[in-house]
Amino acid sequence: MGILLLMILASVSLGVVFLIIFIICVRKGQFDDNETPSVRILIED
Amino acid sequence: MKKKTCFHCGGNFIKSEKKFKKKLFCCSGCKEIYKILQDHKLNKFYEMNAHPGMIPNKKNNRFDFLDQKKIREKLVDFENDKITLIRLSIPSIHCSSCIWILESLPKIHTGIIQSTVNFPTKKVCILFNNKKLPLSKLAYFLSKLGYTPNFNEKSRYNSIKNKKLIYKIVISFFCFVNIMLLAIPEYIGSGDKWLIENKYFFRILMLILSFPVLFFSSANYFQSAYFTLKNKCLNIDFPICLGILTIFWRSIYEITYNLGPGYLDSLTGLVFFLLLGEFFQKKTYQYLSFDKDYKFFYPISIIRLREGLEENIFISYLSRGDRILIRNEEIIPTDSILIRGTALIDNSFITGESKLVVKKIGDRIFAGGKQKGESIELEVLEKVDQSYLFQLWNNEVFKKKTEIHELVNKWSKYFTIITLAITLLTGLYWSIVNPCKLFKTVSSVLIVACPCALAISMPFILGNIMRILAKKNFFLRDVYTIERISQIKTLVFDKTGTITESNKSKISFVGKCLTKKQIILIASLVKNSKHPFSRKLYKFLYTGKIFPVRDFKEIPGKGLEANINGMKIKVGSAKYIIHEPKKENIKQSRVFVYIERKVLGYFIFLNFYRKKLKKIFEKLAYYKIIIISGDNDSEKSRLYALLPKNSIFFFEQSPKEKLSRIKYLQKIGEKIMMFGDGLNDTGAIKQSDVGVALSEDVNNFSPNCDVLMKADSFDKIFEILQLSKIGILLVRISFIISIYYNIIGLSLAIMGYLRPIIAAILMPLSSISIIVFSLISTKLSDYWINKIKN
Repeated sequence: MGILLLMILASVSLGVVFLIIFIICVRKGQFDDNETPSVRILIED
Repeated sequence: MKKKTCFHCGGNFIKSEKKFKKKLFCCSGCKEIYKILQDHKLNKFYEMNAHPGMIPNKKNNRFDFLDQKKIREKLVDFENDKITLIRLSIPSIHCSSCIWILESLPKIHTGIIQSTVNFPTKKVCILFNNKKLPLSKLAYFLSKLGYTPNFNEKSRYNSIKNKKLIYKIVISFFCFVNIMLLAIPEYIGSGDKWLIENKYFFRILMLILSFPVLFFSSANYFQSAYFTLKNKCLNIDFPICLGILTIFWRSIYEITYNLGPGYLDSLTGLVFFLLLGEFFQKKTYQYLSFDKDYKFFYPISIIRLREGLEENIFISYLSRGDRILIRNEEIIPTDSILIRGTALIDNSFITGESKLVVKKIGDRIFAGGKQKGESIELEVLEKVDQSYLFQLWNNEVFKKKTEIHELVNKWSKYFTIITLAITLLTGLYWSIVNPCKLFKTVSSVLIVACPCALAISMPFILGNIMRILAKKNFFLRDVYTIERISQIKTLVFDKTGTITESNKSKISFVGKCLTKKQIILIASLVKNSKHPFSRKLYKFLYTGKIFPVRDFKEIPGKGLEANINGMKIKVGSAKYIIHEPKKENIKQSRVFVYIERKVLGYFIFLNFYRKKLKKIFEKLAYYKIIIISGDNDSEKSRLYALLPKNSIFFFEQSPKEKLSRIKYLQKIGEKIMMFGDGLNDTGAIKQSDVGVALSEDVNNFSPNCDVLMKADSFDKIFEILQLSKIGILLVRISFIISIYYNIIGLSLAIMGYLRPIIAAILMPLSSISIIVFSLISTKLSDYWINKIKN
């Protein structure tokens, strides 16, 4: 059953990895504008 | 019949309509944009939304200051000798057509390489060739299209702050969810042998996960509580911090002594929900204050001298090195150096002390001073900080106290103490009755007692009302002014420039024909004054030439005098010039002229009353109306016909008499709202409960008044009064709602029915419900009032 503890640790650290990725995305500005692209995609050139 | 509207902007036609290719336009600006778009085959702009356009700025904005390197460096994101990248804030972006047209800019102008719109923040990121198109030209080009950029340096800082809150929320959410997961096994299978063997692992992992929440996510609450504690005060963050800390220590205690798993899930959940509430609050506030920077600041203009010509520009477009002209009684908008003239500066707006300071040529004059005497020429040292002027307006010295304001102040002082006392009593009770429940109830009480809903209801509702009023060109000093407006029973109006239109009037001269030199002499004298008559006369007489003026004096309510080219010149009322009281049969407003010991004659001003004056006053029948005028009673009969029967008139009042009239009325218990031009009735405006300064072309910014109002919104006075009344009513209602919330929450918590985590969810929910209430109710009342009007 010791493997369970390892798995829990692994899942939490995986979560931390995703958390860090998300923070990097926010920092890079991916979520700055979540309205314009939805309009832009409908506009034909 | 269908109303005709402008094809471009959807506005009504004011004067004559312009036709182009069978389409109707309200002005040449709109037509111009249509032409540009047609030329570049960008018809789609009009297909996506009906009347998507903005009316282009009619004032010829100058953006030359943008070509100065120092200013530009602050604004652009990137620049080399070929291309520039800039993020411009354009408040007029409002629909998908706007996005489309702004992103099609490269098709219209070859100098623009790429442009990307950020709709929620109303910003456009433009990459352009700075050789082909300098920044100033770009700004001009955009404003010609109706998208005038707003140059403000503050905005960047805000987004960084916002991001930090997002990090805090995300981290607290992550920790909260993981702690919940780790806590579940112990909740459910408490008898399991494996779990009992390994419970330390779970508990320590939970403890580790709670650290980032405590030290990063909730840091703000601790900081603010600490700072207020340092100043020997308590704020509403204090009970929250206390709650968090009790849960935390209790959990550590339970974990170390092996008593239980602790309450770390509640702790992280509490912080997460608190932050989430804060986030929503900020979002709505952003939505509310979003056009604050743009519309709230009253567009104060100033006279700039450029190559000997005078031009009116907004003070925000002033830049270092510009020459400006400041007339008698005008405020110096920014730190500057005296170039010409004698400056007598009244610094009472800055220091509160009204002593005149004499400045010599070359001296530095600080922003906020008021010139008394002849007009002076200044060289601007710094770009104007409108927020500084706004601050000046908000100076404590001028603030008048109000009931609700004081009520809130008093309450917030005692609130935390009361909360702590209730917590203590609850703790005592439960420690006797059932010590197991002691800890839970205490922390629930601490959390649920937070008066957030109470604290935010007033700024939200009144802030929103203030925003609506600003849209009607009625700019309030602060939210408390709304309360004072709602108590008003008596309206006092000045006549000249208030109920008459100061731009329109017929002027004629009676006496010997004036020579060219005499006309220039008079123009040079009246140029120095802000009085409506002087300004009209200046406009009427100005020929392009002006003599230097010495020993200028303005005697409020009487007239002007000065020494020009060695000649003594006086312009003013009959009393002042010819020292004789007005004869009964004179029925006009007269301004006499005196040059070199001779009275040459007088100018006659025929007043034009504002349109629909009778209708406006009919609506105000509920109020007591008083007209105070410095003018003679020549138009008494005309006024009688226009105004309600029970209104009261006072004529030939000096500024001092106006002030004492107001004082007397206040003594007998009247709440007075005074409308004036903020010039020769400054004292009266300051004295009255709500002082409104009307302005036509907005040169006078007088920090004495509580409200600045554009003269053309004069017909909206009734709406404004009603809206303020409703606003105060809404504040009272929301106060009751939030107190009701607190009573229910507290009593549940005291009785021990409320778990800390539920309290943590309920608290931000109550705040959000108040926000929703205030938003919807203010919108509805505005809509309702508009409906009544029509």
